[in-house]
Amino acid sequence: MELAIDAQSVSKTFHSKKRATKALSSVSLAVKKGEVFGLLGPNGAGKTTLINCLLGITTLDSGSVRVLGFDPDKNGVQLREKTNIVSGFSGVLRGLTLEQMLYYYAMLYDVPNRGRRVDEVIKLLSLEEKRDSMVYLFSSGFRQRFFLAKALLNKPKVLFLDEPTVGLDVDVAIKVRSLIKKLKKQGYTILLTTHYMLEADELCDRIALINKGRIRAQGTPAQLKGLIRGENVIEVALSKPSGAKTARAHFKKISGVKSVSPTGNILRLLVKDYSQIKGVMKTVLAQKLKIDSISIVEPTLEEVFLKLTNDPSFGQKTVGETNA
Amino acid sequence: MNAIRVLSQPYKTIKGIRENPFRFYDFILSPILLLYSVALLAVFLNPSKEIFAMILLGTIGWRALHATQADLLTGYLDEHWAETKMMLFSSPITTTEFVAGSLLTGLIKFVFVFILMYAAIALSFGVLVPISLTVLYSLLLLLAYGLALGLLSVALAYLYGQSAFPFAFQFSTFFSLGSGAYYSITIFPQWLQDFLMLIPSTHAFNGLKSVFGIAQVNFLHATIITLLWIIVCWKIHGYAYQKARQQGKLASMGS
Ligand SMILES: Nc1ncnc2c1ncn2[C@@H]1O[C@H](COP(=O)(O)OP(=O)(O)O)[C@@H](O)[C@H]1O
Ligand SMILES: [Mg+2]
Repeated sequence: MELAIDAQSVSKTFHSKKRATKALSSVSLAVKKGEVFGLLGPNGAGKTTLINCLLGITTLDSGSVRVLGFDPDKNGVQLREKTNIVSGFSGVLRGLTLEQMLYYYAMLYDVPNRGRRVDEVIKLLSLEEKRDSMVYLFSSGFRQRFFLAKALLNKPKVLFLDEPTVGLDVDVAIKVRSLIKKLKKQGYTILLTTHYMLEADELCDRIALINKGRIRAQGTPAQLKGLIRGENVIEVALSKPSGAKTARAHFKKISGVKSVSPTGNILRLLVKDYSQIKGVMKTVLAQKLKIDSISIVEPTLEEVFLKLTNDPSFGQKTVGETNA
Repeated sequence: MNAIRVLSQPYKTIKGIRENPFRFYDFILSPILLLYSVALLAVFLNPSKEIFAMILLGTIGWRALHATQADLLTGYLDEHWAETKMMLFSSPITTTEFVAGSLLTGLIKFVFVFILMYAAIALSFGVLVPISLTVLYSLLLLLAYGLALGLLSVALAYLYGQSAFPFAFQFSTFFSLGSGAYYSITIFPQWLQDFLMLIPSTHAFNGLKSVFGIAQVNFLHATIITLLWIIVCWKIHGYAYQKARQQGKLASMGS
């Protein structure tokens, strides 16, 4: 199956008078058609630089990239005709209304039936009331919807979303995420960058963790979390802290429970795997322990990330199937 | 070259002009201010009818040079200031289309400015500026030289962003004044006159003045020199664009 995005050993260093910044070190990734692929990493990790390289806005020092089979250096125009981007950091031109602004971008992409397509994307993003308003005066929520409308004008085969929810109010960010989910259902291929773990977890089929220009791990969210398996935790919240001592003694006897550490009325059980939850429940019933809840504590991507980036010996780790 | 993508640039500028004070000033107010400040001084000095008409035509020539140069530069800087370069350069527009589009914007605006200035001169001073082939060709050369200077300005803006602006924006003023918009360059020492003949606008302003018998022009030389400038500036522009891509400056925000 042809890949939507294929990057192989991409490196890029920026030179200024004072110093050289290695923005990307031998980055490889492969995004399949119809997939939502997340590039997750902190500020300065190299996410935007990689997108710029994929679109041919910035040149690579070494390595190669193909988007929809096109080399950005040789077939940049065709590549950019079939892709589009939302950047959480871009501004808007002054002086144009929403309709005019979308018309301008529709011209840049030479979209067929421009007027009709502009109407369509306005409707798609429920922007009808803003049609004749100046875009540069929009609130952040409407502005973000404009960016998304602009990015859908040419029905892109690959959509780049560079931190699409950065700096947005929580409610607006939620709306943007649900829109991204809608696009995913419609079969869009999306490369999403973010520094929000939960966002990547919620939206992406596969994720690459990137830090300091290097990809540290790639895989599905579940596979990545599996990287720190062996630390499966079950938490039991007791109704009263006073019962903690006896409860702890009972739980310790269950085979497969490695340790029990109490904090207040919460007991944190380190277990071999989550099937131990049966034993925990049996003990609760048999000993008539008064509890509020029993819960499985899944590791978060954040924990994976911290573990991988704090471990200097940790090379590039790939879990599950990859196409690289 | 894709015509729609070329037309996107005049569309963006012309639709947005009312809401863009800088563009509006540059388009309407500044040529009128230029015209009256120069013309009123000339009236005070009480020159001959020919010299007076020459000075007025000189202001129009200056605006021709400015029109294409400034629109190339501001077509880019509007996107730079608005932090929309990423959206521009991630679109399929090529640099050739972008330059052609900005050039077209400049030409359209110059036609308006020309009519405006022509009418203002006729109404205020009772002078009908002659429109002959010589005048039109000289104006064309100035527009073409404006393209060359515009390419140079954009090249600087690609690499130095905001800091290129004050310098690049004064190119047309510098060359208009230097190459004799309102006077004859014969006031300069010979070595400087010889040097000025390497600059296309000197020839073009000579062309405008030749209508009043004040200077001579060799249009063949003028055309060749203008074309050479365009070619060299196009090469510099292409080099600066590649350099900016390498340095990641086409996407970077701020200066
Ligand atoms: N045009 C540039 N010139 C110099 N350094 C740059 C440029 N663009 C990015 N960088 C540097 O490269 C690194 C990666 O930046 P970026 O790709 O923007 O990271 P991210 O998008 O993950 O926040 C950062 O250290 C940044 O300062
Ligand atoms: Mg970024």
